[in-house]
Amino acid sequence: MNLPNFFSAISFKLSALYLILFLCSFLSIGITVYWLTQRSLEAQLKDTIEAEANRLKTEFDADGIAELQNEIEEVTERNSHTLFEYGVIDQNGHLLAGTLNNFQFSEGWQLVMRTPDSKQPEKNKPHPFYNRVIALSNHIWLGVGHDGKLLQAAGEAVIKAFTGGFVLVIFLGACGGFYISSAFLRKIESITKSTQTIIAGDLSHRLPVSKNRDELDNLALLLNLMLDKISSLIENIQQVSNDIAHDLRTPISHLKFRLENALTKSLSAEQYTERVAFAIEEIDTILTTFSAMLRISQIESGSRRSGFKTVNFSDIVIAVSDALNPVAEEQEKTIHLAIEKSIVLKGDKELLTQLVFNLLDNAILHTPKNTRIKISLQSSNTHTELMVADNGSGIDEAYHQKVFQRFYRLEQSRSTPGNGLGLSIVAAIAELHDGTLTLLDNKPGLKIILRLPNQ
Amino acid sequence: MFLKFLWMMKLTKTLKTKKSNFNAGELPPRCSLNAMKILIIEDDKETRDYVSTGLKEAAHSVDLAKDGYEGLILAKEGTYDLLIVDRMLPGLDGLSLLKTLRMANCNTPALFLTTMCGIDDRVEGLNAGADDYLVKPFAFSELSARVNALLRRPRETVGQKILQTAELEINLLKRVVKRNGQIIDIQPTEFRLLEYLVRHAGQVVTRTMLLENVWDFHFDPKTNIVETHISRLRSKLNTGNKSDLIHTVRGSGYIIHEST
Repeated sequence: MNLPNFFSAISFKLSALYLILFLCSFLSIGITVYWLTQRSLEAQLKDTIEAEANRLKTEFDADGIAELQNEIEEVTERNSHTLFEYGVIDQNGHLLAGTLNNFQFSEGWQLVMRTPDSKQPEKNKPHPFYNRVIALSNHIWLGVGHDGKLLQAAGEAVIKAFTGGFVLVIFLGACGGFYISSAFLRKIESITKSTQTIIAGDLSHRLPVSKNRDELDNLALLLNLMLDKISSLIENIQQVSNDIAHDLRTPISHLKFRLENALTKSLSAEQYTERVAFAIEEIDTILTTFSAMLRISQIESGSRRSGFKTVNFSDIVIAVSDALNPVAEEQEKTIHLAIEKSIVLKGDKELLTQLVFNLLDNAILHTPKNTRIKISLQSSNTHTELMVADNGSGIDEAYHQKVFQRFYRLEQSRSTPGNGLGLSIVAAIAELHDGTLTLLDNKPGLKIILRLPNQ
Repeated sequence: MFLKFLWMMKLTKTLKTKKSNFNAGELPPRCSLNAMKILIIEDDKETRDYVSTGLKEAAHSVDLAKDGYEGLILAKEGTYDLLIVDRMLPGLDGLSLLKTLRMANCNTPALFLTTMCGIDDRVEGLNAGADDYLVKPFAFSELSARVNALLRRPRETVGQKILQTAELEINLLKRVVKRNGQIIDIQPTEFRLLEYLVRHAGQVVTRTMLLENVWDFHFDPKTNIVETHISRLRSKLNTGNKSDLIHTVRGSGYIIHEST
């Protein structure tokens, strides 16, 4: 895990964003707490000062200036620790009682900053001083004051606490963010590594999935499924190219031998024509195989599904058996129909026709004389079932699945013309229509059942 | 955009010279029924030469276009009897070309060439306005048969009740076939087969053309059902030791004409 990578990681960005948001809210809480303490402490202080000032004014109103001077002196002496400061000043600025002498002659609160003149410089911190001024008579003013050291200390304590908290939050947030990011990055890293392994060619490799089953694991699971699908497709393609290489090489090399042979021998014009005609025939066979292969891969790609229309399957089956009936008769075989009328389903008419054709054609081609071929078509609520059955020699159960493989030809049918793709096309078309194909022993003979879903 | 415009200008110019050359030539259009004017729009030189040589040998006059735009401009002149259009073309593809032509009310018959992997091309081509299609690679005999079928396409036969050729008479309404006035009992499929042959009397009709038009089969069946059906039809037509009406053209297909 390198650093620039780490800082650009989504997880890092997200945790950084969370941290900033958290710090902002922490800061606003701090400001609120500070402001509330300051306000309530100030209100409390002012209440105390106000009460003291009012008490002294009552004293003055009742007993006059002399009694007030006495009281102030007494209080100052007795309660030197209360830290109230008093001042009574007449209009000429003469201090009549107490120590406060520098306030303005107007009723209300006066706030000044005081810097104590102490010997210890660290204690020479300016602090607020609250002074309540009351007019005792027209000429005399009373000032009662108290310093706000407590207030200031409380404020500083709040600030200190929150600053400490702030630093702690940043530290914890950064650590948490780092931990989450690196855990996330580790996971991503392992996925990246696995992906690189796969890109390098190891298609059997899969992405790691932990037991936690978080979103990343779900994604990895999904990607693994995709890889499974891809590798099975690739296997399929490899199989097909092997098949092509194998099954087309034979006719092509035959062709080559014959042409070479024709070239080395001096032949009559007629013989040449014959050879050329043969060559063209051979090439046509190869081309037919090719187009059958291409057709299968096009069908398997599923692109034809978008062109599905409502088709009358009964009509298709009837038309195909009608087309093949003379062929069967020629080969001394009989076709018997048991077809439910007007069965409609969604599908590709051209392909369904080819499917039925290939099934019936196979039944005619690979059976002995006097075979009875039965085609039945019926529909239930959920499925349409097409059955092509014959009482011929049948297929050994061991080969039932193999006959759908491309180019697979049973030993018994190698002598008949064909490319081994007929049933592969059938299988591809059936799959395109979400259908299933089943081969059964007809005792004797073979029974192929195609089941297509109705919806 | 501007370059394209310049290029189109150049094309139009070459077109004009081509046209004047043609007018001065010794082969004026539509001089006879056999000599038709055909435009081949095909980018592959091999195919183009193969097709044009064959068509010229059949006494048609042939113009060539190497890409879609050139083809469109030439085709729009509208003096052709037939267009042979490839599906894949540089510039403007075959489908768009046909659509454009049909939108511009150019109704020259068109034969559409498709590759064998494009099994959807047929429907697309016919939808775009093609009159017939042919899958590459094809035998020249197949192309030639289809070209002839398109060139000598019977004019609209709506309302026509009776088709006649040689000694045959086909009543389309009553579904009755007579040879020399004698009714022949035939199956519905055989009737459709015969009808198609008679409609194209005097022309070679290939196996694929029959599969497509009579059976609506657009794939290559292993079993040669056409041959079987033709031989049945033939024997039915020949009852009473009459000579063959349906003739096999080796390597091409079938033709119906008066026995000689």
